[in-house]
Amino acid sequence: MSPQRDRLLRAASLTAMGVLLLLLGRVASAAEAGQSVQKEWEKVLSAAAVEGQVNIAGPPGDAFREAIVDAFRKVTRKSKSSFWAVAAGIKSLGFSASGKRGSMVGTFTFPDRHPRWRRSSPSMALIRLSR
Amino acid sequence: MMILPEIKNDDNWIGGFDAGWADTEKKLYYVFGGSLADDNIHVNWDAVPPGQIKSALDLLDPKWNGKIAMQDPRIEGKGLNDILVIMLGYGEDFVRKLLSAQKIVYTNDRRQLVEWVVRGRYPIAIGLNDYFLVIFQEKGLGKNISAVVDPKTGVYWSSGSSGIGLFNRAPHPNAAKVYVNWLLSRSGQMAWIKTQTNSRRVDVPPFDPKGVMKPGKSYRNTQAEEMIPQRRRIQELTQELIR
Repeated sequence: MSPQRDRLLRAASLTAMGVLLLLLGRVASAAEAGQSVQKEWEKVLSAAAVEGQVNIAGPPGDAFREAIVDAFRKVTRKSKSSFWAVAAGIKSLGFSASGKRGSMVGTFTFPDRHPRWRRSSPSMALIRLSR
Repeated sequence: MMILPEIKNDDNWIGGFDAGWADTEKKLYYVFGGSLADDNIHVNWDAVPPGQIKSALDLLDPKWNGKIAMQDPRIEGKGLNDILVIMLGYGEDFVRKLLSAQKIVYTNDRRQLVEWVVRGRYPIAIGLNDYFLVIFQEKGLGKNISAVVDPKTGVYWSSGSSGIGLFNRAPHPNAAKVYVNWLLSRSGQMAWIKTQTNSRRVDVPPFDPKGVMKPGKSYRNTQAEEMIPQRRRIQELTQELIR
């Protein structure tokens, strides 16, 4: 084998090894990230089980309660899900002011009222959902 | 708050995950479902000859004077949303003419609105809610009532009740996290469509295939924060024109 060809082969195998290590590194970091998400999720689940309850507001009528609240109860058997039907934005304010704070599904039409909540009454503000 | 990776995977949502934020800061209120807002006019085709109403423009014809009913647009609801979409599509002057000239009858009772159309008392409705129409149609009534699909308003969609926010100082923050993550997961959205609403998730079958937003096309949510000025304007207009 000529020295030139030998160098080329060495370079090629080093490159291939580098690519392989890079890929393995990525797989490993994805796995680590996955594990960290899993840990975080398990921590949240444990803490939620201790809290044992979530307050949910949603549209009035049976459809939401049956489809969502009952379904959520089934997947979190240990939790008690409270439910308040909320018809529109102004009632959402009442819901919050009454101390029944919790999650809220839809119902308010986002516009109009929401910026006012944040300005005039921070205690009723929505909190950040995005990470 | 949003922990499960499947939730923030763009591939799982029509328009990608970020298209669901309803607040301008994209962090407070997330919309996970909704339908195209091009179904703002419903017609009982037993009482209206087919082809006579193809878009909102046809409603100005004097022959429909006294034949149109509407969910009161002065309060939040589909009536307000539909007339907003009509204003966005055809302009304020058009809405002014429609509400002034056609002797429209208003109601806050969503079931009554459907009943009027079913009976043909008012064969044309704006702001009619499909949820109530289905109840009648399941009993064999109003089978020939359907929405006029107006291409001019097909770039808008409405999220309705399909959104989630979380108040601060919630008493059960971790349980709320579980709820939010479950609701936005495929499993939660499969439950959501039982409320007879479409999900934005691409891996969840639509409740109403006609109302599905098409991947790759750009739409505007009429209930997002950015629509506040237009929404306020239509509210002012309806307050002024409806006595």
